[in-house]
Amino acid sequence: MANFSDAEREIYGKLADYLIPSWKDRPAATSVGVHRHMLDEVLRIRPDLEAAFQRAIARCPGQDISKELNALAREDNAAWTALTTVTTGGYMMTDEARAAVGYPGQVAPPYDPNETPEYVTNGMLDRVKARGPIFRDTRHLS
Amino acid sequence: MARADQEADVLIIGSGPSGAVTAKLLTEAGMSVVTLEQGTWFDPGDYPGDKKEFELAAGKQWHPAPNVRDRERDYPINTSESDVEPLMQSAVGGSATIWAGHWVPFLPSDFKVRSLDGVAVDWPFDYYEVLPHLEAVEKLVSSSGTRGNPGYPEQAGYPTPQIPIGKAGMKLAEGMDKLGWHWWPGLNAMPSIPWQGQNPCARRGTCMFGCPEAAKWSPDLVLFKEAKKYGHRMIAGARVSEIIYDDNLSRVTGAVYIDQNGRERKQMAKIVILCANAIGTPRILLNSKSKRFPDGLANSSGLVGRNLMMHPFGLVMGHFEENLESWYGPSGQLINTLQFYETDESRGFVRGAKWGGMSGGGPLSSKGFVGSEVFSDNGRIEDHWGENWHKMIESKFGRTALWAIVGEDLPEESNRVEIDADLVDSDGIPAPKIIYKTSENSRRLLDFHAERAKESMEAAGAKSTSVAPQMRESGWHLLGTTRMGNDPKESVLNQYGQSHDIPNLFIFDLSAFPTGAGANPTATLMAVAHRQATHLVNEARNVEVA
Ligand SMILES: Cc1cc2nc3c(=O)[nH]c(=O)nc-3n(C[C@H](O)[C@H](O)[C@H](O)COP(=O)(O)OP(=O)(O)OC[C@H]3O[C@@H](n4cnc5c(N)ncnc54)[C@H](O)[C@@H]3O)c2cc1C
Ligand code: SF4
Repeated sequence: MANFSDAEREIYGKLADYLIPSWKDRPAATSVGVHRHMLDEVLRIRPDLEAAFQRAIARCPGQDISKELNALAREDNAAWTALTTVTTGGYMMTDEARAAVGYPGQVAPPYDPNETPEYVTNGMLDRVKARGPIFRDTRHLS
Repeated sequence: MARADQEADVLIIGSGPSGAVTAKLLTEAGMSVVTLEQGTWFDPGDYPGDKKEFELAAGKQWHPAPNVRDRERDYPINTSESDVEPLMQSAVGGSATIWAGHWVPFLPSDFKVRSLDGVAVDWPFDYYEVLPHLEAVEKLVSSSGTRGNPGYPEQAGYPTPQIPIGKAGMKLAEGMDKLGWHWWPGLNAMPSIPWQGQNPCARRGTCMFGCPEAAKWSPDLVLFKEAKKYGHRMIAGARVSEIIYDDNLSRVTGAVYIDQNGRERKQMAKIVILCANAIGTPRILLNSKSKRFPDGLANSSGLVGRNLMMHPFGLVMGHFEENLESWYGPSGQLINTLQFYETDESRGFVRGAKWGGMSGGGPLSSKGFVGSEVFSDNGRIEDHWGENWHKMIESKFGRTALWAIVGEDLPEESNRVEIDADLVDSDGIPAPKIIYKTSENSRRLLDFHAERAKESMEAAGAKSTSVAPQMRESGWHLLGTTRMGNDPKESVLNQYGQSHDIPNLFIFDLSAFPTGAGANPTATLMAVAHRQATHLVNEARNVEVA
């Protein structure tokens, strides 16, 4: 796995914050570490993204970010996709970003399978039944 | 020289749902059965669904397309001439390790499309003949659901109660209720209470990347463990290169396979049953050439590989004001509808589609509409990133319910599986190429259904909708490449899945289906495999074996 220099991480951080800036109560990409531990974590999970991600940061030195990223997206789609996947993937794995968007993760909410569902008590399902069968029968063809 | 193992009564190739039902019934009937499976065992602990990284892993290691995963156990498929990318898994349990568990039996009309609509072909048997087998496999898969759906003829109930449809399912149902359209709580192959060794579905919503709870039914969890008790032998990591045909006996005698250490071996058997799916099965047949079958085994009709169907697939999302917690499962269908399933020629196409109602999924699924899609309309990245990205997440993530539209495509001989001239798998075995074009009927069908689905979202109160009338990576359902029929010139198999050409060769996977219906096929696949295996048990003495 690649070791990124501080300078590379700093450049990537600028790009990441352009893609995901701070907004309302939501943190910016670098404030949850997408350019630091999360970058390493994402590339550990998805080593296949590394080469295209490296291309992206090599092409976008962060001088005129809008121009660089628009050109990247137009001219090297794989690098652009790797850059955005690494950024959003890393961001959304952090506790801070998840808390800000109200996402507990794919947790298992408890439920009671024997509870009568609302669509039964409020008559919605009965209305479907009352309309009767809607399939075409074929018994006459056999 | 290949090493030959002891002769079995039956050799099954492929361990997905079709192979699993077959192995269970035949071993229970006292036959000696060996299954060869190119994939290996997965452990529920390997699945990413309960880990933070699940959506990232879903983009590569757990992607449903073998061409994207590119694992050594997968075989590559040339899809350069296909509108749709085929999806599957190579593992003990087959594609059902990553299936969504939507349990949607075909309808009576699906077996009679020639008689009813004047298109394609009728099946050699009808819905009512399959029904008892359907009821049997509904118990095997520990299904959960609600009895009495007027979309179907009356039938037995399901072993476990309905899983909650959640806020997203309720939203979708409200839209249908307003319009007076059919809907029904989702029937799924996953129990809501502990059942037959499966845990209850915990609504994690990650079924398509493997169920980390060991709740969703897949063959490796239950059926193969049971079959083992009766002496079933599973050889995992065994990739079949060809079926052995004896020109003197005019029978198949077994198969050649490459084991996990790269050694060539033989498994001999009196009967061979292919369950390698509608791409894997014709690939094996087309790779098995002999003096009598220079164009591929059991191919005197020339139809092996022909009539590939992949179900045109559309997606309509509704984005709502309220928080629907739309990352919760099951995924699994929350609800479904058959409102527009049957043919109505005034719509400008024949046949129809089932819609499955699902949750929008995790946060990265919200991004699916931007990222690399941005420049499809010459936009600027700023239209979708920066503050706009946050706004998109705020308005879509957790607030999205969707209709997954599974349409019927009619069999066409030009849609086919061939052997690619150059491509090989990691064992050097020639790999398949598929040629598949979406027909005009399918296009019209998808456009019509997408419009109706959008209307239902609006009736449900969606503040905006996103419509993808056709997705390329949607080849979940592979059907039709060695079809059943009564006429040996027009079909490869008879009504029991037995080759017209070779009496001890059978095919029980979706390749055998003459038409594909507009519904997820695995319920009917397992029911038909149950019918065929039952027949084989009853008739075993009369099958002319090797
Ligand atoms: C992501 C996903 C979601 C799905 N969701 C649903 C759903 O919700 N509802 C539904 O009805 N259907 C669904 N399906 C479809 C369902 O998974 C298939 O219909 C079903 O698995 C087909 O069963 P099968 O036994 O015919 O083949 P498969 O399950 O594909 O199994 C075939 C097996 O054969 C093995 N094999 C192939 N070639 C060889 C060889 N040469 N040697 C040895 N072994 C070989 C393969 O490794 C594989 O394990 C889904 C599929 C996918 C991919
Ligand atoms: S929704 Fe249920 S069946 Fe699907 S992965 Fe989660 S726990 Fe398993």
